[in-house]
Amino acid sequence: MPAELDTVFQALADPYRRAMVSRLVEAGPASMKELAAPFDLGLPSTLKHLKVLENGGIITSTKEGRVRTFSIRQDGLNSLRSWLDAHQLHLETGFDRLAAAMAANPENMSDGD
Amino acid sequence: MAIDPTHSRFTLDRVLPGSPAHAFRFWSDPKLKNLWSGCHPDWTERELRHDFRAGGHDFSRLADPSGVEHEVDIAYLDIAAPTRVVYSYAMRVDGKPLSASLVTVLFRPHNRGSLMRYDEHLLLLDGSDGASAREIGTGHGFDRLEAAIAESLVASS
Repeated sequence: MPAELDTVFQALADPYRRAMVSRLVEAGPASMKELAAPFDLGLPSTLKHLKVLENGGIITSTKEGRVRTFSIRQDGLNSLRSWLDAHQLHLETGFDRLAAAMAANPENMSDGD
Repeated sequence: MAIDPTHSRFTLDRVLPGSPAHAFRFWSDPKLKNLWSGCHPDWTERELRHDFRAGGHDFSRLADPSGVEHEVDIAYLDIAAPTRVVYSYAMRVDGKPLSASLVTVLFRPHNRGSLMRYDEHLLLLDGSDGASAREIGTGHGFDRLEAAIAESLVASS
């Protein structure tokens, strides 16, 4: 498993963090205060969760003046897709070998092989 | 619509040289299957079992060059020669669950060869202890996130 997918799963393995991601996916970029508002969470805890999501490559942040704004990173969510692509590629190359093995061992020759 | 991003279903079609009966042999006969299914010549075989029948298991445990073990555990659920194989399989890396799948392989005549249809429903586990993959499916408000992720995946593919 690619390391990046591992971090995506870890980042999402928390209900607060999933809710924050949902909020950012649905309503677009938000400040830490806005993201903390729906929860009974202090700003330090909120910041900790947001850092995990940022380190996991799921969100990104920019600072303007004293306000840090968080937003979704599309490529972070794409790493889920890349594992599947790798898995399907693995199968396809196996089937390439299957077709080659069948061509190399035709029907009339493989009986009693 | 809530789609769990850890679940995925896909179909791969492949035209093969030879009749369905011949193609089927490359799944049922361990010697013929090994011609194509093993793909890591530099990996060390630790355990290898074949038992191609409904209720039987194929099991392989291989160590990669860094010593990490990779397990594939196949359970054959239904076999109808030469047209259908249904099996489930689990992959584990370093003893940790990576994925669990249900697979249907169908063979039918196609021109002078066969058409093989491989259909897999894959559950991607988290590669650590399995707990967080289960948790991911049960969080508050996660359905909307799942739908959003699914949409972003469709949009980006």
